[in-house]
Amino acid sequence: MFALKPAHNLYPLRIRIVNENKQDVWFTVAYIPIVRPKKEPGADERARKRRSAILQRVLYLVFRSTIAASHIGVKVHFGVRELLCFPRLLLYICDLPEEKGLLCLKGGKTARPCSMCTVTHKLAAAPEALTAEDRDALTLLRDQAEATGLRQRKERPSRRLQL
Amino acid sequence: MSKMDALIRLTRRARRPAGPAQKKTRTANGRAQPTDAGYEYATVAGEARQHYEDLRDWDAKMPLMTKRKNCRPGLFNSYRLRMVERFALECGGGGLSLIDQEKLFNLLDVWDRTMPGMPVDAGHYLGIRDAVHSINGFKDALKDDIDDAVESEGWLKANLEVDGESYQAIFRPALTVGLERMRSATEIKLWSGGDRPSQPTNLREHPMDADAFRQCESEVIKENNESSFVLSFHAFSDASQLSSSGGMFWCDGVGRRVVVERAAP
Repeated sequence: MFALKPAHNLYPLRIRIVNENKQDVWFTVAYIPIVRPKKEPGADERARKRRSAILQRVLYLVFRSTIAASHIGVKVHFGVRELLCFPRLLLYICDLPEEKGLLCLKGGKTARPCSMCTVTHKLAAAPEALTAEDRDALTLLRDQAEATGLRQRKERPSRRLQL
Repeated sequence: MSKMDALIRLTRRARRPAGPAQKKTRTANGRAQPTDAGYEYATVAGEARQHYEDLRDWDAKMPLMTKRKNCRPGLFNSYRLRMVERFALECGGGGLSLIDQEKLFNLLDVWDRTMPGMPVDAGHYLGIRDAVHSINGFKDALKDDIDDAVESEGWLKANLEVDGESYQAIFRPALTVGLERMRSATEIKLWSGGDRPSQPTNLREHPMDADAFRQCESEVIKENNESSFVLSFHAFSDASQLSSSGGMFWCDGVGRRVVVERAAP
């Protein structure tokens, strides 16, 4: 009847500054909330979508100023010199569910399960998979942005389905 | 105990077997059946006692703890030392761990001004009451230092509403962390070639050897000037590595939170 549940669970997001010569110094920049399925219809699927949304939004909050500075630069004083710093996130390490959540890919049954290329599910372990076309990140992002906009405006259901 | 054993022995009688063992059982066992059918006791209590005696659990007893060699109990023999001992044994509900006991000893060593090589400053001969005057003052002073540290590190929080549910995220801007780290770092490399950018390489001895970094660097310098550089981040998150406050909810069958309590460490 009674169950003991953790009161407060978060998981950390850490970054490392590559320019620093000291190796393996990671700084925690965020604690991301754990999203658990609730008692509702389609609980697992809704929890997965919430999880993806939370991860993307927290990443945006963390890197919001970095994104701006990566375009226009930020002035830093290094000794007597004034330099222009362009911060860039060059690597993000995470598990497969987080990766799929970040790239807005389907988590479960999907025709194209690989996050790097467009190999179909049937050919995933076949030699043909080696020659599969790579995913185009820009095209994918453009399609996802269009699909999100259409969904929010509740327009063109056929186009949304196609996307 | 021996008198009790003697009393039980005197009042019990050997139980007669109900009858000869069946032929089928004898054949199966391949030998004669035991004829010892046990004893009949004068009271049920005596029979129950004998049952537990026959288990011989008492014979397997041993001391819970064995003292270490040269054990010297009773060293905490003054009021002050007894308070230290009590703190070490009761702190947090289960007492201090061995590592925490070491930390406590080091603290007391510093507090008594006896730790070799410790620095001497203006507060060397001051006591705790010279800094904070009461227990509440002590708690407030600790809380103030924590709050000040969290604020100076730039930690923020935001309530994110997703699909009708609200979640609280705790974060700090990566750019602030990066720039602050640059200011305090003893050794930092602004360009892949030391004081200038360098060409792509097949070497993989440093993260700045990566093609992604060098391409970013050459693009940034081409679009701006020689005094620009790339501050590169690597990010890592692992949802299986949890950070828990240690608090637990007791939840009833319909998901209502009933009691919040902090689990003992």
